[in-house]
Amino acid sequence: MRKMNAFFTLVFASLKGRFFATTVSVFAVAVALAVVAVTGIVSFAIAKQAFESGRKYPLIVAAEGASETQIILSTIFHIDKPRGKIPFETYETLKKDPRVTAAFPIAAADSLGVFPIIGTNGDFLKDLGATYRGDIALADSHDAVLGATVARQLLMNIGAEFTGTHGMGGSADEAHEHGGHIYVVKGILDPTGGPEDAAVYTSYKAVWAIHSVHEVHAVQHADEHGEDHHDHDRYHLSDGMLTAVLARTGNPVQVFELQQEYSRPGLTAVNTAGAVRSFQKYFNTAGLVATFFAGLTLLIAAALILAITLMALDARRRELALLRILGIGRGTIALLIMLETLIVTVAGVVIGFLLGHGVPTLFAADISRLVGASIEPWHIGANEPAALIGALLLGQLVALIAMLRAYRMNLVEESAKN
Amino acid sequence: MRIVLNSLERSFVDPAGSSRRVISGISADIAAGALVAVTGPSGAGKTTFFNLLSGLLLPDSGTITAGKVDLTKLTERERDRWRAKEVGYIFQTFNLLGDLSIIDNVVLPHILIGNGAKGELEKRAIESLTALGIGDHQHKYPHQLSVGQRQRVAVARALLASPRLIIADEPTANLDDASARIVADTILALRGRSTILLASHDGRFSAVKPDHTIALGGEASHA
Ligand SMILES: Nc1ncnc2c1ncn2[C@@H]1O[C@H](COP(=O)(O)OP(=O)(O)O)[C@@H](O)[C@H]1O
Ligand SMILES: [Mg+2]
Repeated sequence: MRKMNAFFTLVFASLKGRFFATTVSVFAVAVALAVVAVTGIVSFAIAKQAFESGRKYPLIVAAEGASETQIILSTIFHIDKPRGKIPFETYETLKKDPRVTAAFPIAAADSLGVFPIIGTNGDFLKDLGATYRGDIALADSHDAVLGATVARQLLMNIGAEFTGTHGMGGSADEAHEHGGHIYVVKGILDPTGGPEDAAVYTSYKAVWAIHSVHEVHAVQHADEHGEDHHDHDRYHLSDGMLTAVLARTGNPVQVFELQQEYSRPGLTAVNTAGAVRSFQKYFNTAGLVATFFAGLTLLIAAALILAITLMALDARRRELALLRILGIGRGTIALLIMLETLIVTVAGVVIGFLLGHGVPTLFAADISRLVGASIEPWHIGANEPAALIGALLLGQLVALIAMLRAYRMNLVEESAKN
Repeated sequence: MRIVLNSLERSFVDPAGSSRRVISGISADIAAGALVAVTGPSGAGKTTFFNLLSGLLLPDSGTITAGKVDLTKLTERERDRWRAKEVGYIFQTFNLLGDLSIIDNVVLPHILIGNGAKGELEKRAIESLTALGIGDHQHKYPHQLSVGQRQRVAVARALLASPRLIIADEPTANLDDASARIVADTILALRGRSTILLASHDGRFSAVKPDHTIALGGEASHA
């Protein structure tokens, strides 16, 4: 045991002596593994959210011209700008359709800081099934309901007032203040773990009210500067327009029927569950690509560690020869080198794991908002165990190579030559 | 420890490929506790001779009997153990481990080779460092010490386990006067207790008459 202590003192002193090389090596491994961890966490959160949305809103009707993925991203995750608009009657006819058990209007165009403002109605909020404080009926066009994260981050409570900025997530520069329309917070949702945590809800009528005023300005503005007004208008909602309608039916066959019926000029009807499946395939592929690059990084890290170790071994010939002269055996020295290398990779694996899950823990709210789905920071992704074990095996391999090299070094002859 | 050398031979193959005999036909019977001067010009084979006697190198032929063991019959591991227990090796280039503190430099190798318990070794190390005039520096690192102070640390380490054979290869070369004197006095004080093999051009040692002189270099030849 005494010997073990002395042995480890020597190992750690040597690692500390090469602080820079040690740190670089440890972090090379850690970063590669953290990437795998974060990819796993994010793709799991998105997949879960997408899967639940498919069950909750099996049919989405939005404007023609957007892909199914774009429509899901903008209406469910609120992370893409809505493309185009659809007439309000689409909502009304869907709602009246006997095959439809529930339908909700979505009119999104504005944001409150980084949080999107979604124009909808009280039915939609009640249907979320979240518990809440205050009132979520959205009866008046000035009423607003905040998601839990929004209320917490902006320190807003019931009764607070705000005005939205035009264009989602836009910076202060590009956003026009809608000075005219003031919202009053009437209700705050409790945390749900879904995209609603990071959303602000108002009545769709409020969105109409703002934009009918705004359009007049926009036209004048465009005329003065001679810009193409049409493109600018794309995200503007005029009176009676929505960005999407979410609908639920009695059975899956009806989803299929409605999808056929509503796929007509000006509209895109999305079978959410079907789209989510291809969506998931896309994410699995993306995850695989990310893991592949992380694996590549890991290989480079291993090569780096091997190079650093072998270089250090050469630089330390004299010190190692000294140990031999003092009577310390070849095997002990080889073990010393192996342990040094192994500690670097094990430290890299441990730090990578903590980093890959710790950083998401610290920034859970921001990441969740960014990806539009609540992340579970300690979720172990499908590729993570393999990456961790791979890193450890690779580290062991490098350590063994270094050990063999150290064992074979002819240190005594070296020292004899002076 | 009595050391008997019988017709030692050792050659090296130089990079050009030709073999050069460095140690040639050395025989000697050295009594325990004797002071042996190993002489010869640079390149004569003094370091090679010491490496043979400490079991770091094996001779091409001949035997080295140290106490009761014939070093040439031992395996590398056995020679390592023997050297760890019996030999205190002091060399010209002050090889301390740069990453270890002074006290760890003295004690740690002895713990690793099983020369005693940490507490006891540390106690003796501090006594020894103090006697060598560097007791205050035990928690510093080698780069914070002068060349002479570092050699004193190396002496403390070499002598810590009371080795029966002390090998001193130019131990005072390049040292400041104070350090050289302390190192020389410390080594010479062990005469009679340990067998001392010494190679040095330092006048401080020539004032003392050795029990034996082994002259190298004269008979070196090309084979
Ligand atoms: N490992 C070795 N390989 C080849 N030649 C060596 C080796 N060790 C020593 N020599 C050669 O042996 C000769 C004697 O060296 P050395 O024992 O260091 O002499 P000294 O210590 O007396 O200066 C030198 O020519 C040296 O180059
Ligand atoms: Mg020499």
